[in-house]
Amino acid sequence: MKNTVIAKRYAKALFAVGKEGNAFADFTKTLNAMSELFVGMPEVADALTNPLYPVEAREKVMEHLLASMQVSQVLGNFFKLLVQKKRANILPDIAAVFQAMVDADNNMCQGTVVSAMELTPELSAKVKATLEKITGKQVVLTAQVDPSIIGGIVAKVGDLVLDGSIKSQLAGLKESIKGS
Amino acid sequence: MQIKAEEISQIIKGQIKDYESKVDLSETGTVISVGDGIARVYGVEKCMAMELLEFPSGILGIALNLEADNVGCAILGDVRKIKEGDTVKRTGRIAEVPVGPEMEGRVVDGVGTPIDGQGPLNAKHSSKIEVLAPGVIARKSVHEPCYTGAKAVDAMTPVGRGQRELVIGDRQIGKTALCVDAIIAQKYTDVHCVYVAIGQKKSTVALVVEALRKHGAMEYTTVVAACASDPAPMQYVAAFAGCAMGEYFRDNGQHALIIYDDLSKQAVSYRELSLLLRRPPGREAYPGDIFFNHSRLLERSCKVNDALGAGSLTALPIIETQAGDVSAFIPTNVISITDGQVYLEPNLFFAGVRPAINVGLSVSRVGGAAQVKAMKQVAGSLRLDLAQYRELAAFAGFGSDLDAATQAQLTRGARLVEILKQPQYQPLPMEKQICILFAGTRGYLDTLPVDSLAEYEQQLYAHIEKNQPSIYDDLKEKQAIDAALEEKIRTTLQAFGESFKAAKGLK
Repeated sequence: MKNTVIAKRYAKALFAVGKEGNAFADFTKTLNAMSELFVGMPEVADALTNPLYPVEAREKVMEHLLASMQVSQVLGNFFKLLVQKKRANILPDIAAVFQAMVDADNNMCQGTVVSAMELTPELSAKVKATLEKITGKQVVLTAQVDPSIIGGIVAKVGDLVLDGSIKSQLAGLKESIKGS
Repeated sequence: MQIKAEEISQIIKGQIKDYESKVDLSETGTVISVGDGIARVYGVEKCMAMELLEFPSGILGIALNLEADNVGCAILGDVRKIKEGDTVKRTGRIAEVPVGPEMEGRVVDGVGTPIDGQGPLNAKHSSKIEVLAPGVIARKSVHEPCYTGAKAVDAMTPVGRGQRELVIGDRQIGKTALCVDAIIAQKYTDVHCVYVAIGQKKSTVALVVEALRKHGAMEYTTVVAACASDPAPMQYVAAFAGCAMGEYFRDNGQHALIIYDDLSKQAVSYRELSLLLRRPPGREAYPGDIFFNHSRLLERSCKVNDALGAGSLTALPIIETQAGDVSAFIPTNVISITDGQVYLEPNLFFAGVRPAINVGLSVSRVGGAAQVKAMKQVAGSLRLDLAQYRELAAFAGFGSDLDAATQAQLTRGARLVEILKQPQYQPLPMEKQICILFAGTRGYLDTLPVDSLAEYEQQLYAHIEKNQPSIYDDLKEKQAIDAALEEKIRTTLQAFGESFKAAKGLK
């Protein structure tokens, strides 16, 4: 999250284009896929950003990539522009900022919930309802399973963290015994 | 002592019982970059200026820069334990330190954590480190003296309770010594002391604490130590933390004396902090608000009015100059903020005049308002006499014949310079100072050789204590020299002078 200022500029432009064409869903999906590709496969990121390769070669890589992913015209141009301007490295940042912008526009926000075991649908619905009550926005929940928190759940929405895990309570107990 | 396993489990059981499990709701951010005592944090959107942020493993930071997409944060602790990507929690508290009478006798670091190994502070109050100074209505003019115990200072550049008097000079010429003596001089008064050591060696601080302890001054003194090895933010914050501790006494109708040793180091650490936070540099690379940094700190030292308890906070900031350059940026700034300065000079120091106070360049803008009448009576002509002496001494150096009047002035001047000398750790109370200054300015020393005056002074105090203790009592009580008292002092000095001369074999 280092180049947030630049990422914001690009995301804002893309957001404006998307708003005209009403293509947010497509944009977010492709952007997220692309940023996952960047994070998941460093070779791809390297091929697109490494200054050792000539710009033309990098543009070619991007074109092939876009062709194989069947990206829309507008978004394709956007990605090509990024490579041309040597800003491909901030793609994941742009994806995150764009997602936040779209969410804000729809009065929604992204949340994650971490639990030790898989949550039942009723439970996750309950968590979702609680989070919606706190934030006043619609929450899109992503569930994760992490046995290391032992029990309870940790819910995150934006900057807000609700930590009700056994792990952190044990840590708190440890501090309180040490502290007094 | 035998430890019973049963007891330990009982204690732990009690603690677990009290521990309430609750869901921890917190606002968080992520560390983008960290280094040089500074962290940039993404997130924590509702963070306030000067709010404390909590890093993992309990390290605290102060939010200093609130920018559009990140928060610049000064870390108060070990930077090495913080990594990029760490989670940062908001605490919702503006930076504060523990204050109160429990702090006396303790040594704490820049954020009020005890470092003297004497257990927890148990302070009942805490106070924000950055508060606004009292306004115009809340104040009162400085009118009562705060004795520093140094004859030269109390006679010619008096410090009043609530005054800010700068102590300025090169390294190693007794700035700290003068201020430590001022703390020791508060022993039999109701003044509480705070000594803030900024950017000094730990060994130096240890020596000061030891000296204070030896002279029984630690009981009413808090030492705030942000040493050279502490991160720059700690050194910057320590001055404000110490001020908050002093303010507690001021706001409770008591009196306090705070010593910032020294503010040039604080300015340097603030410069470091500001440059790392990418604030634009100005003159000597100090940030634009370096003047405000010192003025808002020193403005908090004041005398508050009777409705607010008539408390006071007196400040003795120290500034170290480089090769006597008082026209550098920081010295001129602080000179213009304070109510006067005591200027210490290397030439005098090496000539044996200690404390090496340059009488000509030292001033107190509060002046006579901070002196009792008796002191004004004996010291009124002192400054002028010394100024004339210096002028004449320069001329007399040519060795031409001098008339009797000039001779007399030179003799008087040399003796006045001699009696203003004072050994370290021996601050004098007001009544003793008046006696010796009376003897000097009224000519009782003119017939004595200059090198016997130190001995004369010591024996005089003992003599008065033994034979005429009522002089001290009268001075303390009336704080003025009336005709009867003057007569009494004159006869005592006359008698003692004769016996001193006889004992020394002088005519």
